[in-house]
Amino acid sequence: MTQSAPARSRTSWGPLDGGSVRELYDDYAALLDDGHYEAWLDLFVAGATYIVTARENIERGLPLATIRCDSRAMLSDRVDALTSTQFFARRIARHVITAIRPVGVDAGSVDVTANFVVFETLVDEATRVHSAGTYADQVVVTDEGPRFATKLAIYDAPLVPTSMIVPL
Amino acid sequence: MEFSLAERPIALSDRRWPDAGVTRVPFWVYTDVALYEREQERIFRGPSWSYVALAAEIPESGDFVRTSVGDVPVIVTRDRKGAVHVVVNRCAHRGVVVCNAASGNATTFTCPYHQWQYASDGRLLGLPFKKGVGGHGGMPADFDNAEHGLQQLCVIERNGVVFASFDHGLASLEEYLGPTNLGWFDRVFDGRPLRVLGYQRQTVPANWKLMFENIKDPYHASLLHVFLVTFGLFRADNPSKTQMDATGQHSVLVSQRSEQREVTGTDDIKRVRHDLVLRDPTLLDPVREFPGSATVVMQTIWPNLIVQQQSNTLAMRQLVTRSVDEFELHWTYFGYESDDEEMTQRRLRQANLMGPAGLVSIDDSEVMRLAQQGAAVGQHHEALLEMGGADLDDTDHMVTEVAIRAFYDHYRTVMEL
Repeated sequence: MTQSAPARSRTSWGPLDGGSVRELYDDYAALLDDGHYEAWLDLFVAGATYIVTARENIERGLPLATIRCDSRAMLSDRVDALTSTQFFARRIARHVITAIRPVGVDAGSVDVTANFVVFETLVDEATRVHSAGTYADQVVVTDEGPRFATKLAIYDAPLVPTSMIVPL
Repeated sequence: MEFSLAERPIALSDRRWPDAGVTRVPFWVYTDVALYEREQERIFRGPSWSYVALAAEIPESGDFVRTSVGDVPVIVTRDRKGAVHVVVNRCAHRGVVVCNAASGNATTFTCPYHQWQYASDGRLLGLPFKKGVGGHGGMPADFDNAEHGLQQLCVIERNGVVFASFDHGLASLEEYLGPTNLGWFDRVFDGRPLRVLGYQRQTVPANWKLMFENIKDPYHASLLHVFLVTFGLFRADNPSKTQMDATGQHSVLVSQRSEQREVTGTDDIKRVRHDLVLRDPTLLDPVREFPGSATVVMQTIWPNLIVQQQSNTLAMRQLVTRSVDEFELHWTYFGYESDDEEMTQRRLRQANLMGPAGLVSIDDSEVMRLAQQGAAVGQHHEALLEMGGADLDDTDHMVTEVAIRAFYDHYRTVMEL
């Protein structure tokens, strides 16, 4: 797990432009929340891994995830299930992503941490916090701009309220 | 003007099960608060073996995990000599929760409030100022530590699975499960050391019995779970069977997968997607690992456990009741210590099917929420359980609700309803 770095020893964005990374996360949130899943998938490189897990698994050194996609194709299979085979009550998700920081830099990539909060609104119910946690991602340089090579979403509360329909 | 008394709460003693018997389930079983309290007393704190942990979660002396039996918080501990204990997580002094960590290693537990200290088996080891300070205060001379420990549950372990009961005079687990269900239990827990892979947990806004009904219901699985049907993992025309123990409290649903194909068995299933193909087939690459042809074995063990084997994903699904209209589902995924890395990765990938984000099980948590909503406004109505007839016998097909009927047959006996 990537640890956030103390402010005084802040890492540079290296090969990336900080503004374009902010845009990547903004696009990530907007595309997910608006249900533009195909465009959302394009924010990942083909070999990207996408993992969502509870903080307790990370702290206990356990490999299980709540969502585990070893490739963008597997993530795409999950989107197919979301849009065509799964049953769930209609809801609106809002991703709020803040504190986006570089914590490690390599020739063509930067390790990035960020905080997320996801609000969820079900029909006839008040808006509630669905989850809060941190991302520990690897963002790489591509011809199309920065893209996710790995995304690890770690949610803080062990209990998921009912279901996790929209990816974190 | 006349006043209606229809909405006054109905006393439990005035509740009447419908005359049609277990082919009907009155919706108040999901909403009556007094009934929930009676369930806690007679079922969860009564003569039943509740699943509490896998021994592999607490392999070393001093290891502990926190969990619940019904809605009572307990700690599962392993003492210095290696014995497993289950104690109520509530100080004998003023009721404060003694252990706050979800898991860890400790040979003693100290209450944060007044530092009462307990051993792994719940014995009270000591308390500060027991004899007073400077001749003042202190506990009465006849205060006996032995009478003020953490409440201990009876513990039983079979092939790495730990069960506990508030009833210290209960039959053995073997007798409790009965020969058929014991056989299915031993199929997965055959004595090989287990490896814990991790946890998924969720809160479901529904009565706990709806979870058992869901797993005891093969009828829904071939209709609601389009993902399973589409990829042949579970469908109405697959060979299958439902087997109960003699009381009806435990049951097992057994099936085997087929290939993705068009057959008459899917004609009634409007949502099935014959055009869907996996872009990454490694998501589903099951291999046979148990003797026999079964690829899905879902076992429900009264009162709080579902043992899940769907392809190569193995998990304990533990029910924790929270209130009449809410329960938690704790999923502990495991494999065997002898698994190679390829098998471990396969199990981890197939876990995508299950849990709060499961490609399949999302359907269930969502439907249970809606079932509770329907029950809450249907107090004078009842559910219908006539699929496959009205009997309580083992069946060799999926188009049946027999295991739910058998469950309620036992439930009515225990609850005197």
